[in-house]
Amino acid sequence: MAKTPSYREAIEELEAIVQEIENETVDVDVLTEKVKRATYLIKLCKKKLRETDDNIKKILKEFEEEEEVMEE
Amino acid sequence: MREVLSLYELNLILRSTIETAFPETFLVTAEIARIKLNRHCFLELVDRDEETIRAQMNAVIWSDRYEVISRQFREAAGIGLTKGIKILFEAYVNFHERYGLKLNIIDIDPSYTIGELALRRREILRRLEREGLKDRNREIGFPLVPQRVGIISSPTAAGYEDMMMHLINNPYGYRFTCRLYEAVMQGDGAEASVVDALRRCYEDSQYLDVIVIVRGGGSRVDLHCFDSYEIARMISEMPVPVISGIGHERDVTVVDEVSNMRAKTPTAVADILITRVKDFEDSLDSLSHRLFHASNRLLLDEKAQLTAFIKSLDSALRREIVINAERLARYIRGLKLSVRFLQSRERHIIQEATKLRLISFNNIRAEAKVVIDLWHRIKDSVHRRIQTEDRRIKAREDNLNHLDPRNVLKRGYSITRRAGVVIRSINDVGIHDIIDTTLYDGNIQSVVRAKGDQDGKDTELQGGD
Repeated sequence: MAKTPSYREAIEELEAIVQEIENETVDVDVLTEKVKRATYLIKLCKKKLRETDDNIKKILKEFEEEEEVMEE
Repeated sequence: MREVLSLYELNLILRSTIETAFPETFLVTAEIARIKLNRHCFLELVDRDEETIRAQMNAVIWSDRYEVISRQFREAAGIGLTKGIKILFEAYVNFHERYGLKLNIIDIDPSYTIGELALRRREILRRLEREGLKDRNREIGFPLVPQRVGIISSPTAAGYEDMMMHLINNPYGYRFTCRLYEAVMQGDGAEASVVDALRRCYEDSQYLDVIVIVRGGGSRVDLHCFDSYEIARMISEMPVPVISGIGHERDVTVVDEVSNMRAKTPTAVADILITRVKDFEDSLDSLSHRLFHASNRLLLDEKAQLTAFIKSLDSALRREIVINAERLARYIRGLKLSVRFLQSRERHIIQEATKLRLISFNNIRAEAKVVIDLWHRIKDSVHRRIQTEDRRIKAREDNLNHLDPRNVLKRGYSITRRAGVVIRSINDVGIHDIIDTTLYDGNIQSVVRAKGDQDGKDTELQGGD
């Protein structure tokens, strides 16, 4: 898996997949793959909505520490 | 000799002169440069020509009037009597021998201030528009999921607390990562403090999805510090959308105008963020729903096609079976008919045969007798005939014996041959030919010396030997 898609990337890919399936341009053989990918994206997004972004937390913490140093 | 007055006496003269000269009230406009409440309200009023103060005077609103005036003003103008605003007031010119010249304000017309504020606001907006800044933050797309929130507020502000609680306890369990950029939200230093907080946000903007400016409480006082060009410019230049949560029901500040979105209360700001995230999740759910239905339909279609195929195959097979069954039935029927026909033939044949047998038995005996009789008769007649013929053959044989050459030869006849060929004429031989003569009991070989006819006359004489 490449890098985690952003919300926008995820929803755009999802939209594309769903439309493809709705237009019935998807072969039944690859349907499973498509549904799997879509489900993965939905789950990923839902997880991200409820999980704190640790990266941001870390960065913000670094800022705070910097400020404390500067204040001293 | 000039009269010498005590200061008190002079001030009494001034007081009575002023009171006589200005018995009526004046309507005056001025800017509040300083305001202090100490039971009574003391003001320092200025009149500016651009930035230069060209006139200045102290004024007072006595406590009995102040309560009414300030309440009415607040209700009408939406802000309190504060430093920096321009007012139109009705006042007496008063001179007090101890406190000096002062304007005694007995009424303030809030509509003037409203107009003034609106004018100032319009001017700021016009300038921002001229500089192409006014709509810049509005034109930034609002993030799909505003989860990283920079908050400009005072940590002690009730509004900040409300918003944080609202965000943290959202009913969907969404997580918001919030960072507070502290600022003074009212009073003299508010503008500079908010500008500074915005600058810090600007530096962190790559880690932020959205910036919100919230002000505590529902008070309309000091709202005018958000009619600030400096704050507005910082917001316009922000690369992430700004939500203004400083507004009030009726008042729209410059900050509200340039922000990407505005909300009436800090709680409403939180609602905007939560709703936005909820919208995103709703669209996820809707996509998920569509995904489910579309793939289901696709599978059902496929199944239906398969079913239709099977059905058509089935009916084709059925048709084939029916056709074959009919053919088979016809064939069996034909076969049965043939069998029946054959059976009837057989019966007929058997009947005929039986009939025949009966006839035969009766006839054969009689006929056999006839045949046997006939046979005997034939045999007898043949026998007789044979005997007759036998006799006849014997007789012939006897005759034939007479004709035998040997018998003839016995009687003296002979046969002459030349080279094995019987000679019947004298012409058949030449002189000197060797001839063989067969007699009854043997042969004689001779050479022809002469020959002649029956008269004895030589027809030919050959040789001299």
